[in-house]
Amino acid sequence: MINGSQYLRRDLMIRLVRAFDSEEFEKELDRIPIKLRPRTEASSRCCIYRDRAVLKYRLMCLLGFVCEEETDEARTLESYYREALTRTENNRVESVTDGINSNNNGTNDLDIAKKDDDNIEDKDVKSAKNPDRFRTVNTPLSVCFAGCSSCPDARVVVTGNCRGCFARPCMYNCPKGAISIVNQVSTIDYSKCIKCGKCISVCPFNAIVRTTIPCEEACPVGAIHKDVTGHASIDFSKCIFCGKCFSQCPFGAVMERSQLIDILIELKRGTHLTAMIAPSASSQFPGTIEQLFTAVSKIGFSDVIEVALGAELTTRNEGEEFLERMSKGEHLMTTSCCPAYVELVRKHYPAFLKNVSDTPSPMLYAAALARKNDPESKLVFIGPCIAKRVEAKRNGIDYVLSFEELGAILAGKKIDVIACESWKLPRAAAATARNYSKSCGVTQAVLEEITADNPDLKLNSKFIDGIDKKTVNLLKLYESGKLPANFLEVMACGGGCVSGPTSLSK
Amino acid sequence: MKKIQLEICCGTACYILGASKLVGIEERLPEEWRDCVDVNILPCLDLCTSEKLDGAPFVRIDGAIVAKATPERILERIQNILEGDTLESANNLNDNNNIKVNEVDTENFNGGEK
Repeated sequence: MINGSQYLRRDLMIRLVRAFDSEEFEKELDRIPIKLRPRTEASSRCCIYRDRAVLKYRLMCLLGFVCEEETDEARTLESYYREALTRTENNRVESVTDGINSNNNGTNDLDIAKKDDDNIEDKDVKSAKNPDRFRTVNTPLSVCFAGCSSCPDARVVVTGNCRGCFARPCMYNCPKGAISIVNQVSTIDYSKCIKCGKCISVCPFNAIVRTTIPCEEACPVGAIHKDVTGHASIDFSKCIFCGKCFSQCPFGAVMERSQLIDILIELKRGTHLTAMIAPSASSQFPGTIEQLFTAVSKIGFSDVIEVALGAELTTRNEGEEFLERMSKGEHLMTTSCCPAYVELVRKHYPAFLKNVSDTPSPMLYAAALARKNDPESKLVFIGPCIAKRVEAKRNGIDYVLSFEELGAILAGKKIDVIACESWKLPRAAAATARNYSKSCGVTQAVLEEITADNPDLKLNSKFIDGIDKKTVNLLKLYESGKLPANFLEVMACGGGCVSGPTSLSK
Repeated sequence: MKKIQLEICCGTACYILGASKLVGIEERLPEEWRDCVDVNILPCLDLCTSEKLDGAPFVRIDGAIVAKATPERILERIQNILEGDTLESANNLNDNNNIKVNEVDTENFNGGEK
């Protein structure tokens, strides 16, 4: 089942796309929250006014702003939209100067893409962890003040189910002696409680429960916390953009800075846009991947390419890199295609960065291929990932569209994937490359690539399927050799990209 | 006996608003029902106009629309039909769940009675 928060998010996107095509769009924008939450209907939060406020902030994020950027609460959505219009006009200039200017050999990705090489060489695309690739860009995530419910602190609570029984297993099993019986009810001394939960598991009446703050619980790196106002706030010096808070907040208060409106504007202007579709697309929509490509071209994209073609290059080069590193006597190499993982290493375990592959991600290779096909075209990566928004921005890829947003555009324009004919792919990407989106997919592809020619290679591949609070420690164990492995795949989302935060198939 | 026609709208709006979780429902039907139900995946049924968008995903069961369809609601409706209930129960189903689709498409509701 999809949940209410996903439903509202997608529903609003579809409405925005449909409204965009109407003539009165600018004027209508500020009416959307009122239309959706009329005074005559029940509210889903404390009152319709708060519902409307949250809808306004959602729309603000869909217009490409984050709630934290608000300086004037009275500013209209119409005014934000006008800023989006000028932003898209300036976009090309910014991405070229920002993203593609400093390569070691003085050329840039665009120049390289114009060369007539049959293949994109490794040097043509910048390394996955080149320092200037980590420059600060606009934050992709936002916590909506009006949406956040200021969840009560995480702790262990005795509920009314407690009967003050004679056995008192809670009291006898508490390792810290934090529980006593006061007035025939089990009572926790919070100065002693360590939230271990022993009492919860031994209570015969299920009287003790744990309260949680879902975003804090979900964050693998402790980057989201309640601030002085009691609302959640993200510390971007720690955030790895994995999007777990975004998926887990039951109030839908964590939002993405969207580029949906920019793409709608560009499409209306007739800008050349190349859609680069991530391998995880295969499980997102009904119908075949070829039908999906046709559907995307019907939106108005001038070209559509498979990112899996870039994954083929990642596979080949990552395989070579692995062999080279092993021949130099290194003991461990990890994958680098998951941007949230690379961000994790950079921000939380920089000493480990040397083990992360230098091979660029499939998106970056696909971008080079796309630029070769049409140097004038702006590039739009379409995938299920929030961290890719940052990777794209740092690498001069113009826009990122989530699968949810793509679905909303298709739904808004009434394009049915299953009613589309098949797109004629110039060449279908290898099955192993298309499989990148699933856990172990990268490992399989790379190992298949190198084991054929290197039968004596001693391979020991392991994978981390989903980043959590223990991942950094796990990496330390691999680094020290206490856990043996020479090839390590790390995916921030359990199950791989197909379970990404904005995946439709989750 | 005529099979129950279950039609799942897989237009993009319905699909991203939940129909993706309805595809493959035939495997969730109780064993003894499987021979009684035909499951069809259809392109957009054109019910997702902006006013009714929040009724998505839509399915049609023997001609009657079920809005905000979930596997549970579909199974409930099929059970009603198997137990001999008529169209009225389809409307009740929507009523009970506080969804106003009775007026969405009366033609289709009537179609179900033919």
